[in-house]
Amino acid sequence: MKSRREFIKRATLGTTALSILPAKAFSNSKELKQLTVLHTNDMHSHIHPFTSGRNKGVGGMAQRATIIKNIREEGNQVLLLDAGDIFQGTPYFNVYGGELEFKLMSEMKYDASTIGNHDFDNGLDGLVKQLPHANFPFIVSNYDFSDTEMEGNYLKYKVFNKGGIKVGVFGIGIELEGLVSKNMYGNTLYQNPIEKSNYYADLLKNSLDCDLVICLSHLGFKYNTKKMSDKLLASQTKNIDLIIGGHTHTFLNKPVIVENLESENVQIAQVGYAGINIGRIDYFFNRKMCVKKVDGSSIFIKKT
Amino acid sequence: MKIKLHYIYIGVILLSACTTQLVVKSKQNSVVSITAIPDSIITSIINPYKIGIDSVMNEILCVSELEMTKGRPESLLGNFVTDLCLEQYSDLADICIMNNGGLRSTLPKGNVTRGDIYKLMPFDNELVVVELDEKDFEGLLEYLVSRGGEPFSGMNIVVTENEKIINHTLFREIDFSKGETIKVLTSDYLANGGDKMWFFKDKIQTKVEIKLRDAIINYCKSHKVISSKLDWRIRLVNTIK
Repeated sequence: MKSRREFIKRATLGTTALSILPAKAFSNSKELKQLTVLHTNDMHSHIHPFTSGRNKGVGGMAQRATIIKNIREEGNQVLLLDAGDIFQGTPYFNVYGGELEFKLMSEMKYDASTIGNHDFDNGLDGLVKQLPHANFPFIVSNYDFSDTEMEGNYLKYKVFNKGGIKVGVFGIGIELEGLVSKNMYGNTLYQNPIEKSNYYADLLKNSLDCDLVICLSHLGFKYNTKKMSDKLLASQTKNIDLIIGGHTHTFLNKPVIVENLESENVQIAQVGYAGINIGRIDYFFNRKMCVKKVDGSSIFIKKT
Repeated sequence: MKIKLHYIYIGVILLSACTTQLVVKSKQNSVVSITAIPDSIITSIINPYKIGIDSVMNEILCVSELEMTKGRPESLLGNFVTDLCLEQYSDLADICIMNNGGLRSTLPKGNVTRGDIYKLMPFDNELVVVELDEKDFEGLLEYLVSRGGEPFSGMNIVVTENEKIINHTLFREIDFSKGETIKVLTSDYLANGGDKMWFFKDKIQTKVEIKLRDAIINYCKSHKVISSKLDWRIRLVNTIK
């Protein structure tokens, strides 16, 4: 079945090349292929809806699961991602070390997550110990774990094939020094986010021919200092289409657009913290696998 | 045939370059509020964990005379936490410093449960003692003032409006001129440079061998009633007469 589709795709490419049809010929919306990217960040072990404060009653992982299931039932391709800091924030983490968080994310069919600073809170061994409970990969491209127990337990990048749409995902972690105790991150080496992003985004977009390149980042949205952030990263790189961020607990109602090194638009998304919201970005691809339309929103999990 | 292949090659290049700029559209205000019924499978996975958590967290440790909130320059909560730490480990340390940002929740008036202490201190930070010489201790004082106050115990500081320290009084006398050092009780997070406490950088840490949270829990359990007060330990004075 796949080879037949490949054949058709190739045949179409060939014909088009010879006739050089105008792009408009394919812009019929019925022919657009939809990919729904769902994302969370900084869930911080919030299993249940808030029980007090101004967020009382909102969020909750069981509620999130229902919303995600309903979106999957719309029938489009879904990519479900998290931008890190899954750990720390409720007694569930203190008592069970993140086991439940990973089990629930696995049940919701998360495709991947990156690693946030708080995911080191029980040390590298504390993270590695919980990995068997996660059936999704952890992707981070600028931490060198080669001299740690994480080696062999994470990916630098991954290409997802979502119904013929090739989505390349890589991950960028925040500088750990001064943020996480050295005895927690051990011999993890932090590497330059811009260099690593440019390397992996180029690899994914140009060598591996991805239709969409996503950076899962835990750098933080923006700072008033020169500190590396998603906004800085977006403007100083190329080949990235979307940055899904975290760390600064920034509530963005829809992705923010920043121009990259080649004056192309990069989207930056982030949805607060604690699983109060789910980010949703719908991409519509034409037959040439070019994005014709993007629809971004934030789903607020209201109290029942 | 050669010519045809050439055309196909050009065509592939044209097709692989998506030149259209992405425009993010969105629905109205782009926030969609949804009420969802909890997923039954997820709930069934959570339940056994929840039973375990509830039995541990609902234990009442003590009664608080008042609600304690964090804040600057000093606060009921910051004073409570640093005072109880220094009181329990006064044999190991002269002063105690914590960070306002690390106090994650208000302590309620009335019954205080183990769960309340976990909300206040979710991190598994350990207590450590760091020895500072006079220069680094002055750095600590300047840091406290530049931050507009952080929780501390074991001294008083008087500050002018332009952030100049007029005076500080240590409750336990340290003679820096004789080469004595001051022993500072803090969390390993801060001692490792967290919250930019640079004066702790590269200093030898002595572990107290207890988590900050457990130090608070132990204090609460050994005191049936807890309280706190603001005592002007960091005081701003107007020098312009």
